[in-house]
Parts: sequence; C-alpha cells; structure tokens
Amino acid sequence: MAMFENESIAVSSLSSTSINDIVFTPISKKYLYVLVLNNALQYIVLASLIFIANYWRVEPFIALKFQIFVVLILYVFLHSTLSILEFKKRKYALRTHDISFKQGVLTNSLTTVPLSRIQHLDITQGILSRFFGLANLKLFTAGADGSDMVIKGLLLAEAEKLKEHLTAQINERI
Amino acid sequence: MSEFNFEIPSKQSVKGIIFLVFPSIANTFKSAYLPLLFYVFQFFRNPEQYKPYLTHIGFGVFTLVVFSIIRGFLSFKNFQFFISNDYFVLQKGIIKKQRLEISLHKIQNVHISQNFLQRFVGVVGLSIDTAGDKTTEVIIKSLSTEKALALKKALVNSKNLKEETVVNDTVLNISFSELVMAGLTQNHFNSFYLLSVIIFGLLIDIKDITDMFGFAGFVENLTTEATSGTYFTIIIIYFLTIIIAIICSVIYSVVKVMINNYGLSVKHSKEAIEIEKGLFNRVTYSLKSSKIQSVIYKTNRLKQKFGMYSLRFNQAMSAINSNKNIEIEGLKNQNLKIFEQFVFGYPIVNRVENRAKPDPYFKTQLFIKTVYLLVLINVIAISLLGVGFSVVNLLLVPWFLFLNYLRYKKSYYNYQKDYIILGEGRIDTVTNIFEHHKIQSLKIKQSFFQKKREVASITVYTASNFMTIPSMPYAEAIILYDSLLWKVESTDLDWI
Repeated sequence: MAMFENESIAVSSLSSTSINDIVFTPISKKYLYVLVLNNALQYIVLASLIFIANYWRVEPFIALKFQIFVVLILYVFLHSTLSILEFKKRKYALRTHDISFKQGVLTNSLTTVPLSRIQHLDITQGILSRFFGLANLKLFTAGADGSDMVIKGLLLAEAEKLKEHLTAQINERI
Repeated sequence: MSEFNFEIPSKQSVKGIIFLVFPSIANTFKSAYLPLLFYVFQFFRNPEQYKPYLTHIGFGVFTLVVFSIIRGFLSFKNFQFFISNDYFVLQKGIIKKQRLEISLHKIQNVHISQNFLQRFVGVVGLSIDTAGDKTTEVIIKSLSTEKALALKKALVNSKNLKEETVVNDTVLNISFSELVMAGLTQNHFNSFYLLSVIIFGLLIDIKDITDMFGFAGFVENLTTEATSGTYFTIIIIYFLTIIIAIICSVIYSVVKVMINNYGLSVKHSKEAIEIEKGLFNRVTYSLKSSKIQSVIYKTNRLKQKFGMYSLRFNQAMSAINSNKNIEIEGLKNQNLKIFEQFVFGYPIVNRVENRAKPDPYFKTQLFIKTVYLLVLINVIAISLLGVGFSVVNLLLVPWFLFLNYLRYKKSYYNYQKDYIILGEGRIDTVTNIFEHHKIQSLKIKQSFFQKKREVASITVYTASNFMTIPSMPYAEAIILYDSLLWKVESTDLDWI
C-alpha cells in the first residue's frame, strides 16, 4: 500500500497573487535624461517665445511682463519637480497571464492588460531615446481609446525581450 | 478556380466611377458650402452689389466640379486590390499612397450589399470586417456581382467562414403607437438642451432673418417689451417662451424617435439578429452575438411607469464605424429577455439584488465637479450677457444639485458569476451589462484626495466602450480588480 501523504500546501499558492502584492520593476534610470532634456527643450521654446514677445513689444505682454514671468518660473519649477517625481513612479510588472503598468504622482493609476487580449506590439524609439539606447513598448488591444498600454523608457534589449516573450504568447493563442 | 485571378491587381468595376466621382464632388462642396451659402445669402439681400461677382463664382464652382471629377477618376485609377501570400492587399491614394495589408486570418466577415444607387447601375459593394483592428477599413464600392462573389469566396475560403444563414423568423415588431409612446416618454431635457444651444447660436442671426423676411423690428419690440413692459406682459412673454420651448422639445423627441425607428422589426436566426428600421433612411443591421461587447438598457421615471425601455448594443469596431452602436426604442420588459437570450445565451436575473453602492466620497467628487462647471458657466455667460445672468443661478444651482443626487442614487455595480452590471444615469436610469470575458483591459485610479479617503475607481475597457465604476473603498476595489482579472484570464472564451 502506498504511503499516505499529506503535504502542507501554502494557501497563497492556491489563488493567484493580488495585484497589490506583486513586485513592480522600475523603467530604466536613463529615461530620466530623456525626460530632463525633453523638458529643457520645452522651456527653451517658452523662453524664446518670451524673448520674441519682448523684442517685438507685443502689447498685452509688455503690460503683464512681470506677472507672466512669475507664472512661468512657477510653471517650470512645478513641472520639472513633478516630472522627476513622476519618473520614479513608472513601473511595470509581468505575470504569467497579464502585464501591468503603474504611473502618476498626483493621480496614481495602474493598468493591466491580460496577455490573451493583446492584438499586436510595437517598439518605437525617439531621437533622444535612441541616443540613450532606450525604447518604448506599445501594447495594442482591441479596446476603446485609452485601453492601449505604452511603457516608455525601457532599455532596448529589455523591450525586445519583452516583446519577444509577449509575441510568443500571442502566437500560442492562434 | 474561377475566371477571376485575384493574384494580379484588379480595379473596381468601370461603372463604379460615378461612386468615386459623386462623393468627390459632394466632398468638395461640403468644404466650400459655407462661403457659397454666404454668397447666396448676400445675393438675395443685396443683388445689385453682388451681381458683378456672379461670373467669378460660376467659374469657381465649375473649376471645383472639374477638379472633383478628375480627383474621382484618379482615385478610381489608383484603387487596386489583390491577394498575395495569405494577405489581402489594397492600394489607393492619388498623392498620398496608401497600402493596406490584411492577413486573411484576421478577416471576420465579408459583406456584399447593394443600395439603391448600386442597384440602378448594376454593381454591388463589398466590405471586409476585421477583428478589432482600428486602422483597417476596407470598402470596395463597386464590383460586378460575379466578381464580388468570387472575391468573397477567395477571402473566406482560407478560413472556412460559415455561410451567413438566411433569417426569416420575425421576433418583434414595434408598432406605431408604441413608438409614439416611446417618443413621448423620452428624456425631453436632452432635446431641450440641444434646442437651447441651437436657438442660442441662432439668436444672433434671428434679427437678421426676421429683418430679411420683412418683420423688421419684431425682435426689438419683443425684447423691449420683455424688459420694460408691465409685469403682466413680461410674465406672459416668459410663460409663452417656456411653453413653446417645452412643446418644441417634446415634438423634437417624438419626431427623432419616429424618423430613426419607424417600422422597427427584429428578425432572428441562430447566429445573427437582423434589425430593420428607419423612416426616410431604411437601414438593416446584421448583428452577431459574439461581436456585441455590451448591452445598455435605458429607462426613466416616466418610461418605468409604462414598463418601457430603450436598448443599445455596443459592437466591437467594425469596418463601418457608424454602425458600431445600435439603438432600439419602445421595448417592453419582457422583450429584453429575448435579447438577453440572444446576446448572452442566458437571461440576466437578479438585476436588483446585490447592488454595491459607491463610497459616499463619490458625492463629494460630483459636488466639486458641479462647482467647477457652475463657475465656468457663470464666467462665460456673465462676460457675454452681463451680470443679469447671475439670477439664473437660482434655477441652475438646485437643478445641478438635484442631478447630482440622482447620479449618486442611480450608481451601483453588481458583480455576478459571468457578468457585471453597472448602474448610472441622472434623469435616465442606465443599466450597462457586459460579460467578464469581453474585458480588454482594466485600470484602477486613485487621485491624491481619493488616496486620503482610501477609495479608488476602476475603469473597464471593452472593444466597444469603457465604463468607470466610481469611488469605492480601496480594499474592495482591489478585490474586484483581482477577481475581474482572474475571470478574464482563466476563461477560454474569446471576446469576439
């Protein structure tokens, strides 16, 4: 007669882990450079607009020169702080059956796409991203607008690996 | 196979040039109609001054027509399609060349149809339905019947699509009186808002129009009378305006329902449901249950008294986007059961029990939104109409608060084994129903303030629309999120 066995089973292994308990991976640190440079570019454009307005003596601007200047300084300060804080919040997690992405400082959001619902995948690279060896991974679902997921600032190799893995999953389905 | 070889590029039927030329002309005029209308208007007003321009205008119109004909002809010449390596390829575009490739595996269905004009010319139209792809939209407007059938066969054979079964079985006819009833019990506030916007937009022009038709001074008399007349005349004028507005709103609702739903009949086979309706523009929709992503019932206080509902099917993206969402009016409670059986394969029970209400914090959110909206309305209206507008707030504020109260009262979600029911609405009572396996992705959101209150909201995306379950306790939201994910991921059921 076979030995009667009664192994203990961890309760946590019975049900899948809650979305709250999974470990998220942050995106590449290099993406901060891309963010900072993008922001700098934006500020330069703004600054040159002011310069032009000042040079041509555009009417409402001249009168409100000081106020506009203060608002802009505030904007630059807040925007740059927020985008750096926001950068730290961008994390993703891959599980057997789904992929999740977290972001946001003032408003936290977490999106999850079941792998069985991915239609196709795309890797894109902007000029700055390419320079730093980064890439964006886009996941398209059949869902209404806003249901697609974009993970920006992955290392190119990482993005390609992810894409390969996900593509294999999609093809398995068909 | 047949006399058609689809591996070499082929064009549309030559007869079909008119289908490219006519829309081309129509499009040109669509973009040029405002200046033209302006000219016609001015011409009637002041013929002498504008007569000299007549030849210029005439020449301009002539050039536009010639240009559109050439454009139509060129787009016919550049429109080519063929099948290669399991891909259907479509090339089109005159200056901006477009190349569409669709994997034959992705083709869901091929529709052949013939509208009145096409019948007149003796051609048929063919459209290809793909699964879920937003960028692919294939409509070939004119093919000979034989070629269309051969193409369909070539496209469909690769996948063994089932032939569409012929439907004959009429399940439901909505009678004229039922439609009138549905029209009368409509949410007239919507019509009222719409009419108000139109009238407000026209208000500036009304003076010109009445002047033009020889009622010069009519508006001035009315407005001076309304502001400086005796109390009695002021009250009469406002009272009449309100009565007229109400009557117009009701008539508008009834006419709209009539035009869209006249002669509504529903036929039904095993796989598809066919809906035919419309007064001037008679349309037939063929719905496949697998393509329907969610169902919405709408009713209101008045409709509920008569047990009436309107129904809306939200379909997954299809080639013809305008047919995405289909609405039916004038249904009775027991009729809904027929559609539930068809869409889900089982009746939806316990719609009322197990309702989970949103967190009271949702009220605060609604209130804050209302404050924003009121401030916005006041800023715009006062700057346009003057400080006198602030009196309107006496009506506006309680009205908005009342709407908020209804919005909170009607909000709930109801999580069941196979589906989820979501209640919302203000004047209307809206019931969204969708099955778990139709979910494409999920999002949980928590603003700074929501975090403090430990609440969160969840947005559910399906292939046709998205729905938000407003603020609920965070722990509850996580449980719902997890279980919805688990439902989607553990099922073999596909969303289409």
